[in-house]
Amino acid sequence: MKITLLLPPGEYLKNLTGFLTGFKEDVYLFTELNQEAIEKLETTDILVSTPFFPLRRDILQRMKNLKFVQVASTGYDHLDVDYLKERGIIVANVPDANDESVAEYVIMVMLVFLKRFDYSLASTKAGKWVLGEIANTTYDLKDKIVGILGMGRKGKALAKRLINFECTIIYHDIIKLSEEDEIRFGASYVDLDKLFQYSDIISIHLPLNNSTKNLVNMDLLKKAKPNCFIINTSRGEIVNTNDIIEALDKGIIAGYATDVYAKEPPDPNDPLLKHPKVIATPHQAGVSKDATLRIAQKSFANILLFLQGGKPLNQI
Amino acid sequence: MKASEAFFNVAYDLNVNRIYGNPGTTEIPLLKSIDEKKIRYILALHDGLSVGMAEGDYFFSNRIQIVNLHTIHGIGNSIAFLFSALKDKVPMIVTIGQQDRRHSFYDPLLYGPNSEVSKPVVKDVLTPSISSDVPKMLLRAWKIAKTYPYGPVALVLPMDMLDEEIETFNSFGTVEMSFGYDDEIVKKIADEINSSNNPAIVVGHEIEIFDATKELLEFAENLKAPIYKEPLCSRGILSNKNPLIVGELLPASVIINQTFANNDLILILGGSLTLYPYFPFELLKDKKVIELTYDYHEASKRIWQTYVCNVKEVLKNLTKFCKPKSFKKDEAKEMQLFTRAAAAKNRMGIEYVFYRISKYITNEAIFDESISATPALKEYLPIKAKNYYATRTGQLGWAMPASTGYSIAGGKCLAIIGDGSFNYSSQILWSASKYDTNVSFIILDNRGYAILKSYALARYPQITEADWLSPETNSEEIAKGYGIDSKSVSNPDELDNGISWALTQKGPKLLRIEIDKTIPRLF
Ligand SMILES: Cc1ncc(C[n+]2csc(CCOP(=O)(O)OP(=O)(O)O)c2C)c(N)n1
Repeated sequence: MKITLLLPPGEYLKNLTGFLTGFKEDVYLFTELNQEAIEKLETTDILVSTPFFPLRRDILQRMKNLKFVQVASTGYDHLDVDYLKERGIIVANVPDANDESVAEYVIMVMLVFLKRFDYSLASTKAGKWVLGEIANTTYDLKDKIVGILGMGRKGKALAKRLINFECTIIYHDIIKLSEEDEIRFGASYVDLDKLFQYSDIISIHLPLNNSTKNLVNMDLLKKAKPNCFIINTSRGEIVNTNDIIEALDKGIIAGYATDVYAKEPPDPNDPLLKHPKVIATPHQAGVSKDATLRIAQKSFANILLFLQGGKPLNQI
Repeated sequence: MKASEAFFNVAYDLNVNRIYGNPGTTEIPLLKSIDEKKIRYILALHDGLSVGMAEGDYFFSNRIQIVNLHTIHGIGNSIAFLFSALKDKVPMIVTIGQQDRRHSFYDPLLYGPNSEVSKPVVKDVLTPSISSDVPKMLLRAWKIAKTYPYGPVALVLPMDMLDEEIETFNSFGTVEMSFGYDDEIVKKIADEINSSNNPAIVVGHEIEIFDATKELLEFAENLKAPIYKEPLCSRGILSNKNPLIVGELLPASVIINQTFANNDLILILGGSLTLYPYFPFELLKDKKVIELTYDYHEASKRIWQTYVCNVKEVLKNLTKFCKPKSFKKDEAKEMQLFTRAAAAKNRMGIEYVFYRISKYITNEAIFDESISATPALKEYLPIKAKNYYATRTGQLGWAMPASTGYSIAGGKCLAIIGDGSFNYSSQILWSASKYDTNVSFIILDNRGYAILKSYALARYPQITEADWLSPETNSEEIAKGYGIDSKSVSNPDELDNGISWALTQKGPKLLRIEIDKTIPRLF
């Protein structure tokens, strides 16, 4: 079978081509969508695609032999999936390769906040010894109550890791976990108000939709404890930025960390970036070199499965 | 009639329906007159276990118990159990046979210092000097046992006396007790409470002895103050899910001091602040402490404001004088327990094991001798008034006979026992089987004496690994030898099946659970 890979130069390329060395199938690799690439695509059976190269319907129409598209990422907005499905072409993605990255990122941010790591690092490097102040104003994750808002794969990956920090885990989701899963993740179900009422730290892992847009607003923030710290790694629009800033200014909550913004990259004057109680990063929670390698591994495993006549995993 | 018959006539009049014991020749002259249609003799294979069973019987039946011990050996083998019954304040009469007086001068076999040896571990020792006193002495022992503080009363009965002919004896009189209540005292206590900002309540076993849980709840709910249970609390008293219950105090002065650092008044209701490991910190120094107890011994111990009274009467009258405070319990406690249980699952930690047991318990009483696991047991199992029993003395081997007696009396119960503790009274399994009991024995097997290892680790780490701290025995196999159905489970996948088997099947069952043997940090 003919396999064509459309990949951006960089890690994906290195990882996937590493796997493909010595592979006994016809493999074609392109790092840009040029004329030659399009010609090869016309006869290809299997396509490996990433969001870096949006494929319009007119290009897809020319791929007469296409049987299977493996998306080497979680997102697949760049493909006309409906059209592919109409044609009976199998489309699969890699939804779970960066759950661990997000979970680790969230734990890092929790610790940065509790230990005031950004402050102590900057002070020490600037020659200022802040030990006394740090000892009186920092905390441990142990025995804190962590609220997970959205208990999908990422929420679960986070809970799985938090259990060993000996903190208390509570969660809210539209779907309550089975009893067995609740025990596995050590997480008790609470309603949304209680999640805000009880938690010392809240981590948001929700998809953006009509019911989650602006979900975290002043009504909810008012229920939180004054020491509460909120972390958003899902989508900027889930949190009402004005309300968050007001809550931080009035001491309704203690801190906010965001990795995501309504507009990305955010305006350099975005008040979130300027606020002293905000930890801000560039949508990095889900990306790491290791996650990229896992995506490559999982994509390749799925292709092998397809070639052997099996059903690819994570079909869209 | 024979003195032995007169003895039993009094016992029948007193509505005694069971006698626990392990007899010898010195007891035969008494027992020859027992009418088993009226009083059943329940045999234990080890003397002490009959005292233990009688305690449990009392918890369910509330009847004053009679135990039958075999001269000095019976006492010797029961010292720890008698001491526990004394401290647990369980009313019972312990008849002890004595050699025939006609040749006691020559030190015959089985003649012993029965009165002298039993004295320190019972409330009183009686022995009749003439045979016509035998039935009267039983009645007197009965009255002593049922006055406060309750406790065991020894009745030493020489063999020959019981065979003598005496006059028919008619029972006489009754003893009633009621502590009156003093308006002055109640108002004084109320004033202290009203002028404090942040009082805390400590409750103890007297609440249950006086059946004062209802009065306690009314008082506490009105006052809205946090409630703690006394350290090593031996009774259920009130639900551990009650919104005012914070938890049980630990038996360490330094920790108790820290617990109450922000309280300006500590109100101890029918309990005592028992300490266990020594710490060089004076208990509640410079704190205002008001203590209510009926126990004159307890009352003499501390330099607190102590009232010897009936806590039920006082609480009943105190409530209306007290203005509410504003305590609110940390509501996230249950969730914290849940995460801890989940974290303990894979290693079979006790938190997970208790969490699972709690899913199967219905209305069984819990007899607890889980030792190092007790603090977790008290957090996870649904403890409430009159469903939890432990001894107050630290004696091992107490809970298995007590639970067996409880079941013989008609109660539904489970006994949660450490693998070390199991070996102090494994013979009870014979009685449990013989008398068709329904006890679920759950043995938490951590392969040794975890609590001693924990103590060693904290203070003498060099002996932590000593082989004499890790005796390994297989309770499952031992139980089979006594004719008890038994099973072992060692991982979370088998746990639920094991628990549900032990708790729902009829007849006595023994479930051995291999739990995590990591040494807990308790000291
Ligand atoms: C009659 C008696 N003998 C000895 C002791 C001393 N002792 C106290 S705790 C303990 C070990 C109990 O072991 P186990 O029941 O397995 O509970 P664990 O400590 O392992 O939780 C011993 C031997 C005692 N309390 N009572």
